[in-house]
Amino acid sequence: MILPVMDFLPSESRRAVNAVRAKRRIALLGILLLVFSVGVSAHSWNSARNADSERAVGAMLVANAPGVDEILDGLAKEQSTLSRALRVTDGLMPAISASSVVATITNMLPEHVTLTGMRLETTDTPKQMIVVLNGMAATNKDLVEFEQKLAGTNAFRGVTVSENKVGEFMGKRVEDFTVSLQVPLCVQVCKPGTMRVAKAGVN
Amino acid sequence: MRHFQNILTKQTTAIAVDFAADALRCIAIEQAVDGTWTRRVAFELPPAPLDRSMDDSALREFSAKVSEAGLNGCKCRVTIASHLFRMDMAQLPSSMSENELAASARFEATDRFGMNAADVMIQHAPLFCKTAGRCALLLMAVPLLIIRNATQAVMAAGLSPCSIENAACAALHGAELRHDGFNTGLIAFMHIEPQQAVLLLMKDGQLQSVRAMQGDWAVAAPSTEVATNTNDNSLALEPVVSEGAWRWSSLAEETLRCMRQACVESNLPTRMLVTGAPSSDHELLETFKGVCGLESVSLNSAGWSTGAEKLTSDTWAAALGAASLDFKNISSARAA
Repeated sequence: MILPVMDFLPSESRRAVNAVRAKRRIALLGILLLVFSVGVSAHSWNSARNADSERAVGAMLVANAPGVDEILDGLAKEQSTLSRALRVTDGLMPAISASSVVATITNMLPEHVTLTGMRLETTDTPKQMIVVLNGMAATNKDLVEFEQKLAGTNAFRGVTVSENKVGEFMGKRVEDFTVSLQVPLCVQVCKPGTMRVAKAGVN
Repeated sequence: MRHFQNILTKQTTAIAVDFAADALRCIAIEQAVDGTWTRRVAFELPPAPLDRSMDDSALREFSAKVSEAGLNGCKCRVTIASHLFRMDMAQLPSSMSENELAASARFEATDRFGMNAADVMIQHAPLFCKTAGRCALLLMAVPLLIIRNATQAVMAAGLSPCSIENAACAALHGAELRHDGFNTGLIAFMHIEPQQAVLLLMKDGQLQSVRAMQGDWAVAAPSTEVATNTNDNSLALEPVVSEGAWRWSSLAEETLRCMRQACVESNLPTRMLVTGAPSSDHELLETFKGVCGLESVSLNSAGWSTGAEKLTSDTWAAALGAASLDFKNISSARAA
């Protein structure tokens, strides 16, 4: 360079210029830091709010747990009924158990009628249970009452007094009888949970 | 937010503000890999007298222009019209240390210029000296008031001044970068401003002599401006309204006298390079050739840089020269 740079900027002016630039730089960095802090704070506050909401939902779920249990129990029962209906539909189990039939008949016995024998048979064609009852009745009237009760039950079909004769039991006159009836085992599932099942004692 | 622009980024543009006598100029240039200077911004505003604070309306306009150009917060170099400087040459013993030389130069300058040392900013630069045991110095002084006003105006406009230089010296830096042949032989360089022409003589790449010639050169130039210079040191021009080439005769004759004083008669410069508004005046170059007997060439500073809009006058040498000093720093910053 032919002529060196002759700089007339006084050192105090240079310092003042640099100080202004430094102040602006610091101010800018401060503003950036402030904006960053506000951003982080807003994010944290938002996260805390979300956490509170999730905790409230969790508490509500815990509070509603018994109701859920009830629903679960109900659903389990319904599932059991449906499973049973499916098994019945598939023919894996009888729609009406023999014990139910025995219990039903026993409950229907008039006061002066007693059973002396009972035979239960299940046939596949047609799918039904054949019940033959032997017993004694004090009077013919009692026997008729018993027969009418049996015949009036939806679950029983073909109630017939096949034998009726006068007998003696412990020195008293009794009516010995034999009654046969059929219990149809074909059930129809109308819709899940409302299986139409023939039950003893139910009209 | 304008105060925070360009604060955290590396500056890739060299910026200069020229407080010239005829205008306030601001230019932002970039240097391409092939050395081409590309103007990003260049604008001119009415002249800002630095003997007082810049008035508010001018400052607002300057600030708006800087802001519009997106230069807020950028560092810039400032040049001040040569007529605001006092300059002289001195010879001192070469045996002095740097500190002693600086102190002596300062003492010599205050003594010669008759200024209060506390009120001026004084700088010196070495000159080529033939006398054994002596060293020649260029002494320059400028009132601190001028410097403060310039600094305040630039800072108020949103720029950060990083140096203040004499316009003629800045123009020489630009010419040295844009034109070859400065390092060999005896060459004259003249920077013409409206109120002062500065003649710099260089020998083999070393500055040998500096002369400032005050005058109404704006009037001498083919323009409609009215002479306003009332300085007693101004050279008399007669008649100033002439269209003839000889209206430059005063400047040419004074230039010849300065060259004769600085050089041996038989060894005058053979070439003169001219910058400044009148440099595009063919009559000026012809006058120099006729009076001084040397080939005069206009450096055409308007063509030093390329840009969207062509610079209309040849008055950008100082601003371009000052800005070009930052290319090295910018390249280093880019490389980093």
